Amino acid sequence: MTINYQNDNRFFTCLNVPASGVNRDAINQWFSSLSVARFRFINDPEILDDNSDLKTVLDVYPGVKTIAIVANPWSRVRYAWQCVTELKNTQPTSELAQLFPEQTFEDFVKSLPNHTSHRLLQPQINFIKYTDSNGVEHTADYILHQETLNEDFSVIRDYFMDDVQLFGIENFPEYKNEYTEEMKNIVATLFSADIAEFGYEF
Amino acid sequence: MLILSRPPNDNFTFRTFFNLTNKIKKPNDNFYLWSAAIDPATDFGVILKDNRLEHQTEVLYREELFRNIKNDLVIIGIKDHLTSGSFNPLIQPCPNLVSYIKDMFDFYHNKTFIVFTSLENLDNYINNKNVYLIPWGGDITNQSNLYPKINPVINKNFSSNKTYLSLNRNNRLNRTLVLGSLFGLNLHNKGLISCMFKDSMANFNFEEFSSYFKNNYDTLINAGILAASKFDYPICDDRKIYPNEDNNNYDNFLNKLTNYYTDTFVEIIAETSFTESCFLVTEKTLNSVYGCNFPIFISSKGIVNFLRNMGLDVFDDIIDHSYDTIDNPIERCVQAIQLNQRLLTDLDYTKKVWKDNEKRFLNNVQFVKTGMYKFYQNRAESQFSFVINTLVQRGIIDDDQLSK
Repeated sequence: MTINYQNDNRFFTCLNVPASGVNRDAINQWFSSLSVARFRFINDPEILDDNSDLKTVLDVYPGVKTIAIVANPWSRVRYAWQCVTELKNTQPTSELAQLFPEQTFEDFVKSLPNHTSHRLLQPQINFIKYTDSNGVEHTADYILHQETLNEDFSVIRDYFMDDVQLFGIENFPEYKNEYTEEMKNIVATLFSADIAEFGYEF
Repeated sequence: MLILSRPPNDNFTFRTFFNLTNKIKKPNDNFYLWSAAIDPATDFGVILKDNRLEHQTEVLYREELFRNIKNDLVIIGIKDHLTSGSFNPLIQPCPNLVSYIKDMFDFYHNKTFIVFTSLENLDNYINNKNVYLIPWGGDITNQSNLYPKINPVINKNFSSNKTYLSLNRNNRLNRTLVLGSLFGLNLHNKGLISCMFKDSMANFNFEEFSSYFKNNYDTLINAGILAASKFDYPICDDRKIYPNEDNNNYDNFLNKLTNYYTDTFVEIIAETSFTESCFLVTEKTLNSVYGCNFPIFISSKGIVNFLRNMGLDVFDDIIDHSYDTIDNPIERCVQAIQLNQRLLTDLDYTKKVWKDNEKRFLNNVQFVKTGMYKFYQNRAESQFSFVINTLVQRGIIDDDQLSK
């Protein structure tokens, strides 16, 4: 039997994976706009705005269906640099603006190995998968790729038996011309776990 | 469960509701909603729904509620108070939204309802045999992740020439009466007072409450309101205290209110509920605790007793809270002020008493940072367990329909 909103009454929430989670708003808006979906979405800013991980969300809301958006690491880093640059203009005293004073993208990428403890530089897999104390592995229910977001979202559309497309999607910037070999390798090393998990290529 | 609507910053009650109701495996209809959703006075504006723009009013949510009541067991979590506009117990049996849900309970008399509520003493109005009430705490529980980070306003300005604080933003009956009493008794010059509705204050309808006016209170308050409506208030804040429309009371306390608490030692807290015999305890009470002011409550009967029993020190040896047992709301308000005139006006006395009891304010702050949330959580859980056991005994829920 196909699981859909009529025979399954669970809730949905969207994890906020740093940088990749930028289109959570588009998903939130989609749920709000659909009469059969709008009452089935949990938006808990206290958890989700803190970029909490899957375990934290499931501890608070056991049984909730989790959606996560992941992105190509090289694309994600380029997008992150864009956001940090904007922050330096709009909120120069913010934590990220202070942490990454570098001006060029190359300098930004070369500085990343100095900040590996920062949430922004954790592999995305850390936010969407965990192993509990009984050794059971948990993964987000729906992993959507930034690059094919609307297509990947079809599984949610099917659940709610509606074909309304996502709207207001923010696309990541072009990145391929922005990397030197050295920069490519830095990102590949930092996010090797994501590359292994999702098979990303530059 | 259907989340029909949520107010901002309600994660404490939402999570409580989510986790407790998850324990019931018996088929049930389960709703979480903000009372504003069923309030005819609320306009939620226009939304995009099914590719159309639709104007959201209470009709949408009421229909959704009724359309989805199908099972014998219905669990509803209603956030916030249940009074639309004002409530006059002289002419209405209960607040109008209470009346609405009572009608629903009567209509579905063969169903069992478990109702989580933000209100204390809602059983004063709802005693339907098919309804089980579980209070989960008022708006005082909102932003439970942020408020405990607040540093209490313990460093008072002992050069201040103001004794008390009285904040009056929205036009409610109790706030009009507070201002009428303060000005009528000529106590206003001792206080740091705000009034964001003075232009409409003179519209107060005495006729409607005439039975409540005794001891020439109407003369006192009438004169007081006239003076209050013309006064040049020392606090001239913008009425729009939430720039992002997100009810961010934590930010408002830190950015706007801290200075007011620094300069005062007593607060006249005009809470949201007043004429109702059920009441909502809100951030107004919590602000007063973090602001370290002696509290005088202008609210429903029994609120002081509730807070005292919860574990808050209400300074019974310093404040005369005997007003808390008065049924007549107007008399309750006037007495709250009259009985504590010395505390409100004798600056030297109040400052000394405050200093002598400084530690008690810090104890209260410690309580609201942790003990208060535990109180509300534990009470909801134990009341929920009690209700479930009762329903099992009555055969409404089988034991194997509960998750262990």
